[in-house]
Amino acid sequence: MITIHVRYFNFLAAYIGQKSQSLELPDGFTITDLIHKLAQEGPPAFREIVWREDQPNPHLRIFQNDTLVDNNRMKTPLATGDTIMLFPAISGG
Amino acid sequence: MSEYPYAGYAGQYLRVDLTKGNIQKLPIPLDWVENYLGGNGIGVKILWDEVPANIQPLDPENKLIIATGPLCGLPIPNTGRLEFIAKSPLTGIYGDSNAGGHFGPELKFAGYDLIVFEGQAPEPVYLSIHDDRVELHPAKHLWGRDTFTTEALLQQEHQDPNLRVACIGPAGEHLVRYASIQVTYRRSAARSGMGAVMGAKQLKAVAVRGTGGIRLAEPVKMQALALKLHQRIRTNPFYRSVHTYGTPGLVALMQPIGRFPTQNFRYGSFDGFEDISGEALREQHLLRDTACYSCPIGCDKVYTVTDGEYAGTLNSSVEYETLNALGARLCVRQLDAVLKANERCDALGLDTISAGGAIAFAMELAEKGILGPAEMDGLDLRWGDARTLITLLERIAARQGFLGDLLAEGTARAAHWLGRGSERYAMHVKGQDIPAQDGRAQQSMGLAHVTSSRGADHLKAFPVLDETGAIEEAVRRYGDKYLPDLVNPLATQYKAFLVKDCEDYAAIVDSSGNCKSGGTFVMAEIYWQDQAEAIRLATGMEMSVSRLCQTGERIYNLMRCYNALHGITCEDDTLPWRFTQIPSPSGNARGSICHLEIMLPEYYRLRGWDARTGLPTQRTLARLGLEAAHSRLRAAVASGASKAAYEQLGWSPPYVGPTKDAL
Repeated sequence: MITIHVRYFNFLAAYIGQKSQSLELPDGFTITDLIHKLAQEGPPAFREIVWREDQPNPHLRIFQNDTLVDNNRMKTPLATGDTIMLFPAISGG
Repeated sequence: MSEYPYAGYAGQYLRVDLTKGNIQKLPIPLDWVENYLGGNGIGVKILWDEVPANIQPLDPENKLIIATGPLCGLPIPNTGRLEFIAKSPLTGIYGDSNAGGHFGPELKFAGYDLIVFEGQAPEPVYLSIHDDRVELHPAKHLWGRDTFTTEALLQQEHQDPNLRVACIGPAGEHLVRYASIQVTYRRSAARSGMGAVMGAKQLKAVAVRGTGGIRLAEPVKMQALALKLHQRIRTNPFYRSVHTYGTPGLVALMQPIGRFPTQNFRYGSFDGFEDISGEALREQHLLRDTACYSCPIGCDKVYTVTDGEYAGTLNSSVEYETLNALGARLCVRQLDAVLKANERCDALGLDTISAGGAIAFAMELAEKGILGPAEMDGLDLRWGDARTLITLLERIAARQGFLGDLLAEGTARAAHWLGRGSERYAMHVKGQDIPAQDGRAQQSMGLAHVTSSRGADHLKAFPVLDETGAIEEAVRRYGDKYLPDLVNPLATQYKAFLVKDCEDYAAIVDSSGNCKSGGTFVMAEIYWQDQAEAIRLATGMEMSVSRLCQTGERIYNLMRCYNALHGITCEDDTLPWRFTQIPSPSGNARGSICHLEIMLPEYYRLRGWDARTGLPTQRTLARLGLEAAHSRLRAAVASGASKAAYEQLGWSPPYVGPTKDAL
C-alpha cells in the first residue's frame, strides 16, 4: 500500500467538501486510477467535473509533486508521499 | 448631423483643446473605422499621425485618447471595455491601458465613440459630458483629492449617482510615471502611466452621462447572436472557476507551475501562497460579486476587511496580478495588508504591477547594499514588511523623499538614474515592469513580454493555451496539428505562431470594445468568426474573418512602426538576465530558462519583419496598406531622428550581461 496526499483547489474543494485528504492506495495505482476512485466516491457534482467519457476530464488540471501531469504521465504509478493537486478548468492572468 | 455610414458607432468624437479650452464635435473619419475599427486601433493611428517622435510624453503636444469600439455598449457579452491611449511616460513609446466597468458604454450612449485631449489646461479642469452638453469646468476643488473622493464629489456636484467618472488621483497629479486612471466603479486603466498624461494636461477627470441608444445594422440578428454567446459562455467548462474566484483563483494554480513571481522574480513560487490565494480571499473577505457592463461572468468581487489593523478596507477589482505584485513579489503574506495596499493604489491612482515592481526592486537593492541606509528615508526595506509597502505607496504617489521620488520614475528609469549595478535588478522590458507571468514557466509568455507593443505585458498576446495545457481549447482554435507542443508550457515549438495569432486577435478585441477575460481568450467562445459576425451585425460593415485578421495585423504593425520611430529595434526585444540565464528554481518550471533565441526569429518570420532589425519590411507594410509608414520609418532612421528619440527614452535596456548571482 502507498499513502498519498490529495489537495483540492478552487470550487473542487466545495464540491467534495474538503480541501485535502490523505489516501491509502494499492501499489501500482496510477493517476487515472486515483481520479476514477475520487469520481466514484465523490458527490455527483464533483464527479461531473473530474470524470468524463470514461477518462479524467481533460479540463482537469493535475499536478504531481508540482509537476504538471500531461497525458503521458496519467498511467505512471503513484508513490508513497506524493502530493496531488487538483484544479478545475481555470486559466487567465 | 447626418447619419453616420456605419451603425454600431456613435459616429462622432470630441476633440478637446485644453490649452485654449475649445471643444469640437467631429465626425469619425471613415478611414479610422474601416481600417482600425476603434479602441487602440484608432488610438495608434492618431498617435502615428499627430504625435511625432520628438514629443515627450508629458509635453502638451502628447495626446490622450479615450476610445471605445464598435461592440462597446452592445448586448453581446462583456462589452464594457474602453481604451486610454497616449505616448507612455513610463516607456516613452506607444502606451495604452484598458478598463472595464460602465464608462465606455456610457460615452457611446452620450453620442461619442472617442475623445482626443490635446494641449495643457492652464489650471486644473474636468470635462463633463451629458449627451449633447459638453463642458470644461474648473477642478481646483478636486485637485489633490483621491480618486474615490473625486468620483463621489462629481456625482454630488452633478446630482447624479449614475455619473460615470474616469479620474486621476494624487499619483497622476504628481506625474508618477505609472499613474493609473480609475474608472467608475474602482476599475483601473493602470498600465503605461496614462494617469500621468492626464496629470500633465491638468485634466483631473472626465464625467459622462448618456441617455441615448446605439443604432444597429441588424438588431434582431444581433440579439440572437448575443443570446447565443451569453449561453455559450455560461456553459463553458471554465465559467464556474472564473465566476467564483475571478483571476485571484489563479494564485494557487500558478504556484506549482512555477509562474508566481516571488522576491523580485528570484523564485516562481511563494511558500505563503495560500495566505494570499483566491480561496483565502473569498473565504475571509468577500462582500459580494459584481460585474462589468453586459458581463455574464462577473469575475469582479467586492472585498472588505472587517477587523485588525486594516479594518474598514474596501476593495473591488482585486486581481491575480495585484495579489502577486503587492504580495509574493515582496514576500508579503498578510492578505489584509495586500488588500489595504490595493485600496491605496486605487485611491492614489497607481498601477499595482509597476508599484509592486518598483518596491521589489528597492527591497532587492537594499538587500544587496546598493541602496544605502541614508537613501531609505528611515524605512525598513526588508522583504515582507507590509507597513513599508503601504508607506512607500503613499510616498511614491506624493513623490515624497528620496526613495518616493526615485521609485515614482518607475523601476527602469530609477535604475538608469541610480546606476551602481542596480540595472540588473530592474525587471522590465522596454521600460515597463514585467507582470506576474514568468517566461521560464510559460515560454509563450516570455516571448509575449518582449514582442508586446507597450513594453512587458501579458495582455497584448495573452497566450493562455500553454499556461497549463489547454488541449481542448487548442484543438477548437487550431485543430490538433500543433499538439502536444503548442500546449506544453515549457516547449518552444509553435509558440511564435501562438503569440502572433493572439496578438492580432487581441488587437481586434481591444479595438472592438469587448473583454479578454470575458469570453474572447479565456473560454474563447467569441473568436474570430463570432467577432467578425458581431461587428458586421452591429455596423453593417462588410467584415470577413480574413479582413479582421488583416486589421489586427495592421494595428499591431503600426504600433511596432510607431515604436520604431522612437528607435526601438530587435535589440530591445529581450528579457532581463534572470529569465534567460538563471534556470527557474520553482515547480514545474524547475531548471527551465526562457528560450527567446529560438522563438524570436520564428516570430519575426511569421510577422514578415526583418530578422536583422526586427522591423516590418516594406513588403509587409505594403500588404497591410501601410506603404507610407515604411517611407517614414526609413526617413527617421536615415536622418538619425529615431536614434535621437531613443536617447530620450530615459531607461536602459534590461540587464543581460554576465552575473555572479545564482538567484
